Amino acid sequence: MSQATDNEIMFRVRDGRLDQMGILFDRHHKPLYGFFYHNTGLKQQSEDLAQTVFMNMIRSRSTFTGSHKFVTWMYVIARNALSDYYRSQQRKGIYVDATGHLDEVADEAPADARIQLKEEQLLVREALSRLEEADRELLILARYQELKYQEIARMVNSSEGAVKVRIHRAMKQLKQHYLALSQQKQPL
Amino acid sequence: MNCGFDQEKLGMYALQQLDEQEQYQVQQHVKDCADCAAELKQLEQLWLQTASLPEPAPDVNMKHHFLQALAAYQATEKAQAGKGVRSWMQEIREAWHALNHLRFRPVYGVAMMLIGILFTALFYQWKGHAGKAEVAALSGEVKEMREMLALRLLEHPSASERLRAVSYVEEIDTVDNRVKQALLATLNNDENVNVRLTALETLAKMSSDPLVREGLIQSIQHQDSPLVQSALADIMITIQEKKSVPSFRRLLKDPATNEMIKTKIRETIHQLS
Repeated sequence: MSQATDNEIMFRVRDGRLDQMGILFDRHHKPLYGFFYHNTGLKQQSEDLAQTVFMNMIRSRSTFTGSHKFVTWMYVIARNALSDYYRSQQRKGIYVDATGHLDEVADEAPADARIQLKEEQLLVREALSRLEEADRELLILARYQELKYQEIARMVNSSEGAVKVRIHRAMKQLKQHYLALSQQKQPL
Repeated sequence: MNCGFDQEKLGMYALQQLDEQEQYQVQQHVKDCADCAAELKQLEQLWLQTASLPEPAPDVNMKHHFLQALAAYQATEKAQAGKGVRSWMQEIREAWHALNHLRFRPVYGVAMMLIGILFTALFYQWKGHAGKAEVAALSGEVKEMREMLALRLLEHPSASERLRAVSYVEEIDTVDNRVKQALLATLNNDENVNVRLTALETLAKMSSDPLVREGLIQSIQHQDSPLVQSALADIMITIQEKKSVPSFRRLLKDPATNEMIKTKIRETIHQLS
């Protein structure tokens, strides 16, 4: 028996079978959490944000038309949640600093929940945190969520070509930050 | 880089976004151009590194928290939609679902009883016997079940479970005194303002009962949240409870009471006297 597709399940949710969202939760909560984690660098907040997205999808279930993939719709809602979050923080891009410590004291993530990053990974992460929010978001959607550029274009209301160019430029920016950071580290 | 090769194309190659023919072009070019080859290598490395950035595993309880939030949402949605005709089967199914969320053992006993009831009911239905009396008795038992469940859930450490308990009470037609007492205790002692407010809303619907009325009046002086104080003032005006005036006066004298609320209380006292 073939598994129901995401869209089929979301239609069931739309028709009132809210418990079916549990299946979509199982399928997608990890990458969604990853999307928030790589954007914010905060574990607890990312879990909360992922949960918010699932609840928001239930609240706005009637707006799901199935004209695109479920995941596309999910990330549209996720991006809204992320920008709401940024706004509520009233400051830009809270992120893990180069030493791997969370720069927000309020985050109660226990030490063992943090990941020991290798030096290079720390540099990449730091470089990522120096990107503009919008650029970082695009890179993460393309890189971690492995979404096709066509899908990302739909999410951000842009053309596929424009998204390609933006991602490429973001990548170039990332490279510059990365090189600058590694040069700072070199003369030890 | 002076070779004049399309740098955008180089980048797209690293991002694996080119078709075969374009890929071939890039591959041919970097064979001869050391600069572009080095640039491409850097981009590719960085691209690989970004993908290998690890993330901590999400909390194992994430699903559980989601289901709790979902259940709370469903409860409020149902309460808003108003109560339609509900079969006792649905009642049992929901009670059973709620029981599944409980972790402590004594409740499983209750759950087993529920299953027993369910099967008895199914048996009577299936046999096509005139089971009306049995079904009536059964509804009574289900009501009791709901009450027990609400009482247990009211003591749950999670605020969303307690909220659910209050919404359960709302679905019971005639509520037992024990449940009313428990709700009043929740109104006075629950640490979560939302739970207190929901309990208050539910209690307000039972304000024809002298016990509840008295409890609500007593509760006025226990409340320190302006939200709850204000809601209580509104209720007292709706039910025109003059006996609440002394309690409000005490609240007025309390220096800790919020100034805005004091204005509201003065109006309330004025309207009641």
